[in-house]
Amino acid sequence: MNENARILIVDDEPMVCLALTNWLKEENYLASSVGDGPGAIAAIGEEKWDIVLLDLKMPGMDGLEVLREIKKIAPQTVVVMMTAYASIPGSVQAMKDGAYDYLVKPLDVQELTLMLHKITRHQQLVQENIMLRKQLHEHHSYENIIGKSQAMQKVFELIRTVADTTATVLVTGETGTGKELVARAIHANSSRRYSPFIGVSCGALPETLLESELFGYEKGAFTGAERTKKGRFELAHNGTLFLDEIGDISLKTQVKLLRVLQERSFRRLGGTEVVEVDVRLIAATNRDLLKAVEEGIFRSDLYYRLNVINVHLPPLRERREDIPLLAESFMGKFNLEFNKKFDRLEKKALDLMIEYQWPGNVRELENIIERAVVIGQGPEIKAAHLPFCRPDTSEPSGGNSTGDGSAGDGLQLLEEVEKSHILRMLELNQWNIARTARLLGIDRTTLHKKISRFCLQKQ
Amino acid sequence: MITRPRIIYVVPLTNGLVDHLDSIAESIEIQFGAQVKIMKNQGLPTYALDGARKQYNSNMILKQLLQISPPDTLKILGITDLDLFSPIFKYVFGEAQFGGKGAVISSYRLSANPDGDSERGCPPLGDRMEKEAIHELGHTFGLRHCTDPDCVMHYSVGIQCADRKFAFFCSVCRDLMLWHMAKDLFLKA
Repeated sequence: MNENARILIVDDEPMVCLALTNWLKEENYLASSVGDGPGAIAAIGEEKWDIVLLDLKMPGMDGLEVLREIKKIAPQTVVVMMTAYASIPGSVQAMKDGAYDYLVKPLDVQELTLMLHKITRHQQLVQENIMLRKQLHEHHSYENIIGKSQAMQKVFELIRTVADTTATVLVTGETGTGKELVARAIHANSSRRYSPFIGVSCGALPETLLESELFGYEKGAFTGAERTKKGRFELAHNGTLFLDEIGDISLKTQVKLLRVLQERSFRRLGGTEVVEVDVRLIAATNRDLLKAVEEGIFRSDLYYRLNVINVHLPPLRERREDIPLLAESFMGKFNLEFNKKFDRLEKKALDLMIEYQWPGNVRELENIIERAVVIGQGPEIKAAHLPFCRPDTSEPSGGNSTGDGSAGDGLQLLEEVEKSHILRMLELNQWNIARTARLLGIDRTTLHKKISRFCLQKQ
Repeated sequence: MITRPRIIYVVPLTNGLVDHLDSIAESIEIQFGAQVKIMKNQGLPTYALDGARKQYNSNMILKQLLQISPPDTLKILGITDLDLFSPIFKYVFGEAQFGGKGAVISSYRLSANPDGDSERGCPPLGDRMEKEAIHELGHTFGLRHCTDPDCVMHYSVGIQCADRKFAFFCSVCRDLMLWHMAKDLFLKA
């Protein structure tokens, strides 16, 4: 009858609250009541209400003040004023301030019923509109990758085009832009989708370990090789092998990799048997591989072999129009995960998010929304929930800086700021790599690399 | 000795309406399958008169009905021709204790077309009262408003809309009513 609309009654007369709540419950509405303005504002902040029946004349905070606050906190909530004959001018003012309509007390059952039906019907239409927008949103996403920006639409188009081919793909983009998601999307839309998708994070493994991971080893190949082990290439047979951080592999491994790509076969470490594989290779890097080629640290032949198709993911700061869409999507995801009811972003929070530079890209945004959902009560993510709004994190901490790379005029180099910030975060988290990486909005591999690059050590 | 509630009492609360009482009682008996008894006329409920509104408070009438209900009362329905109101509403056609024992209906606003001054084209008053009585008693059995526009438990906005519904339950409401009645008859004793 009314699709269980949630109605809040705000009236200082307990009898009105009780009688109206009971009547609404009998009419299958989910009704509750509060006796004053501050109570109403608290209730609106805590939960989502579809309709508020608000008494105009209340001691202390009157109905008009409460109405204005409600419209600030939850503009989508429909407010119907309840008034006595004498205060009709007040009701007119309320309509100007955003009230949907007003009812004269004592209420006319038919008028109230019709009005509630009309509002719930209107809200159904609003919901339908939201559903349609969600469907549109699905057009703005592809296999968990979200973006309505032109750059992302081009990425989706490219993924669709190359997915069902055997072409090797090189995914490039800054850390946290979603390179692995692209690789998975390509795999999921290829004819290999029922075969394995095997990922290797090349940057996380030392050279010898990487080789044994990629190609496997025979029993007795080295100390500790107690049995034959299949490598990732073999495990990915008929499927897709995703080599993340490809720019970090040694020249020696590059040669071996090149040979596999050329011959489609290899030998396990310590083995003589040739293993033939049918693998589609997708590589990813956040490095400028062409520059690495120029510097002689990446083989040009491997580069051209990998870069048959290049999918470049733009950093988040270059597609700011996707931020609200991404934030909304992560809100939905973490609402489910943490059983919360966040449904909107405070305007100031959104403005700050759009202004922010997002060095950790989408992953950083995801972590920030997760954090906000965990610490907040909802239904609105506020600017105060965003860590980059806190003054202590917006300024670089110079306490741990070595000073050797400083510009000499009291300003710090970007690298120095990064180093001291990473060290500070590591110490704050007792060198818990996973947690620190999450808070920094980067992956663990990147954090490990940065630790070794900056020679950071646990004190 | 435990007296089981088994009788639906119909209580006239005015001197009029005598012509309709029997037909309403008969209809209730058919729809609810319970024994119906008409109690003696209780007279005007002057205790419920609100001088300022010149209307009768249905809540107070319900309280009074519960006080006079015999021990074997399954439900008790007051019938009046006075203008009823509930404090938050301008007027009511009737009122019931949801899932409780008492209900009251009035013919005051059932007797005319919406313009209030013409009887032409209006179905017999008894028909409307019969539907209102079954509807309110339905609420006492814990039935909510029904989406089926033909069901007596359908909420009709305005009298004319009420004229299109039947004076009996849809199959779903009927089953629910019987379930609630079984509970009232056999579990609450």
